Amino acid sequence: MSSYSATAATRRGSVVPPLSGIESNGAQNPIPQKCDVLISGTGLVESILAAALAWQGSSVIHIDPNPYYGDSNSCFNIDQLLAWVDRVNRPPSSSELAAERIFSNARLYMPRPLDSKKFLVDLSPKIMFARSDLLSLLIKSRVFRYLEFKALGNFHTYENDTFDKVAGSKEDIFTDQSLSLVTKRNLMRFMKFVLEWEENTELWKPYQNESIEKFLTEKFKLEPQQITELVLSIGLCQSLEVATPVALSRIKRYLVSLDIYGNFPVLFSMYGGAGELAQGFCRSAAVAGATYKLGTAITSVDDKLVTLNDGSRIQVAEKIVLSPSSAVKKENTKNGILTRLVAFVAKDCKEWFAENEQAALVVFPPSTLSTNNKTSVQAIILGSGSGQCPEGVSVWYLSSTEQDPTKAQRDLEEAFTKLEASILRESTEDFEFENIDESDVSYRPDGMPVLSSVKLGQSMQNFVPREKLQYLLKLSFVEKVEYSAQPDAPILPEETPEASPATVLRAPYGLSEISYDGILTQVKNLYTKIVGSDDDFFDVDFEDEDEASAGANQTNSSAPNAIDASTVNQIDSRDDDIDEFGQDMEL
Amino acid sequence: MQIWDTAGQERFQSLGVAFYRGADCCVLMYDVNNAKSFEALENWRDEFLIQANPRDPDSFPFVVIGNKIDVEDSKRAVSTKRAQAFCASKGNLPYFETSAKEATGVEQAFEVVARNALQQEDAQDFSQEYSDAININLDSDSSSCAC
Repeated sequence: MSSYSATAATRRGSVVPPLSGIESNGAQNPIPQKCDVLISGTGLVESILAAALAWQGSSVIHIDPNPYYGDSNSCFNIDQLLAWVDRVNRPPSSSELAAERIFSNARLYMPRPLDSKKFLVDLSPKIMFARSDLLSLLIKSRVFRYLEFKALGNFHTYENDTFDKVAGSKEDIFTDQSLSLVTKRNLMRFMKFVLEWEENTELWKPYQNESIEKFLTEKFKLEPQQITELVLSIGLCQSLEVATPVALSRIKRYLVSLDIYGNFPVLFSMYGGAGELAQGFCRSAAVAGATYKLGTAITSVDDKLVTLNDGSRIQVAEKIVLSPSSAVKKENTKNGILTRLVAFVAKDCKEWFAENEQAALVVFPPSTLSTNNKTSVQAIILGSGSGQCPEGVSVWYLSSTEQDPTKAQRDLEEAFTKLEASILRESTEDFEFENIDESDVSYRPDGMPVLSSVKLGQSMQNFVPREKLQYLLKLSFVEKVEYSAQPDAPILPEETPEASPATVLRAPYGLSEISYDGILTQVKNLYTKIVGSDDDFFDVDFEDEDEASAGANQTNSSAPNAIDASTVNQIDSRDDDIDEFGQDMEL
Repeated sequence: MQIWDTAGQERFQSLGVAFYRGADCCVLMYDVNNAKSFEALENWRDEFLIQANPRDPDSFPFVVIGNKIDVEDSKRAVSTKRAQAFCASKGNLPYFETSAKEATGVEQAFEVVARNALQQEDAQDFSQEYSDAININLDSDSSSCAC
């Protein structure tokens, strides 16, 4: 069965000849005939699950129908992106009618061909709070060693046509000249409260079903601008209507993440977000003995006997887990949508970044755009230091949780033009003021507004930049995500599921949340359905693993363990640091 | 410094692009008693260069290692001469023969691997504008925090 050459031929569209194995006699071992758990799809949720199960002792076979890792979390070079856009837009063949489609409505504009490998487009860009469950797991599991993280310190809020940098720390508030003494005092009082909000129930309990806006106005006398910044930028909530406890936990998340690694609350991983983390966890699973085979799909499931498209049959002892894109269409269930707009722009955008940083976050709160947006538009801006674009270029990732796709698209386009005008204004030396009128607005035949066709906001009305912003690539698409009656809620713990009697488990859709929060909850839910509880989730002493493998490696070169030549480090939970931080905040 | 092996993901050609990223040296290892494993080296080298996409592919440091020299001579399938000729043709790649089982030659080989990797890293840092990665493991003493 020479299924490998077929795989290699389609793989990345590259010219790589099929690789011969280095197994004895040069023969390829067939895929194992049985396993405890078979997982299809290498998105982040499935990959963390694979690693957790493999380290727990289950035998895991992890496949992916695609010839690359990441599933719906992949990060593509230009060649891969072009193929992906084609796939998303192709009408389903008769055999694909039942198949789930996660992405839709992909629109790509690329004026000129780009050097494929110099640009990476992340399907699910995410930021990681310095104090978060997934970051702790990255350290505990040692997967962090396979990744490179960088800082993101600047959170901007778009208001009254300007980008204000958010005063997110005690120092920022003290030094902010625009704040009155009363406002400063009120803000400080709130900052102190929110670090211990869970204990101070008497203050927020009456508001637990009320909006955070009402709570902050009535209890802390905060001004609308401060409320907007706290809830929508620092808390990254979608609207001011969010329930008080949800918003408080999200605001606290930012504050306790400051000053852990430096003067910034979040990090991002180089070369891509969730897809890079997924590859790290897959490697970890492989080290623990999981079998990996890309470009392989399930063709049929007969009770617990699975047939793959390479002809092999696998007897599964426990469960079969399918990523959403590996599964059949889910009928009669609600899902939400997330609309994205991605652009590579020929500007480094360093004006938005903090010193020595290569990333920033911009939030357009509800009702700040001329489209009268109901939810925030959130944007992650990455410079060349992200490894996703060459120097002098930046990549903009805008997303909207607006559930009407047409309106979401309009919100994103409008936010995009604001970003465009802002960076031209901030990076230009020579201002030129002229009048501009409606006739200057033009649209391309496909409906995309042409560069300078900005519906200018008030303070920009007379600003006409001499230079035009050149964009190298612009892409928009819609992704199916978990439906959430209460947006921003996944950060709160869900009720624990029980072991599932069903053999085939379906992994959940992605989350619209811009950070990684909520993902581990999704993984643990699946883990519990398979194992019975999550008590032993990554309950591995990697110290011992290292010693064992170091011993083994002296006699057996083929021990499948990563060898870390650096000193073996103690891994601790950082809970203690958080308490100290809380005390530091005493005024 | 970290040394990664393929962890079994190479078995079904399922090494992801993240595996290759940022490597400062690549060790190509084969079994001297298995001609196929030797013949596959060139493909592995090509695959590495395509995936890792190093700035200067011609000068990227590879080291070739023929392992399992402890096995009896009659089983030997690839002569030292043949391996050396291959290494010479690929730009004089350093070549070592080892027995991991008996710990023969391993130290010398890895010393060269480490030396070449360090050299490569230095060369890259010089041209890299942003080497501002954050070490997220606070308890680590292997390298200091960038902040």
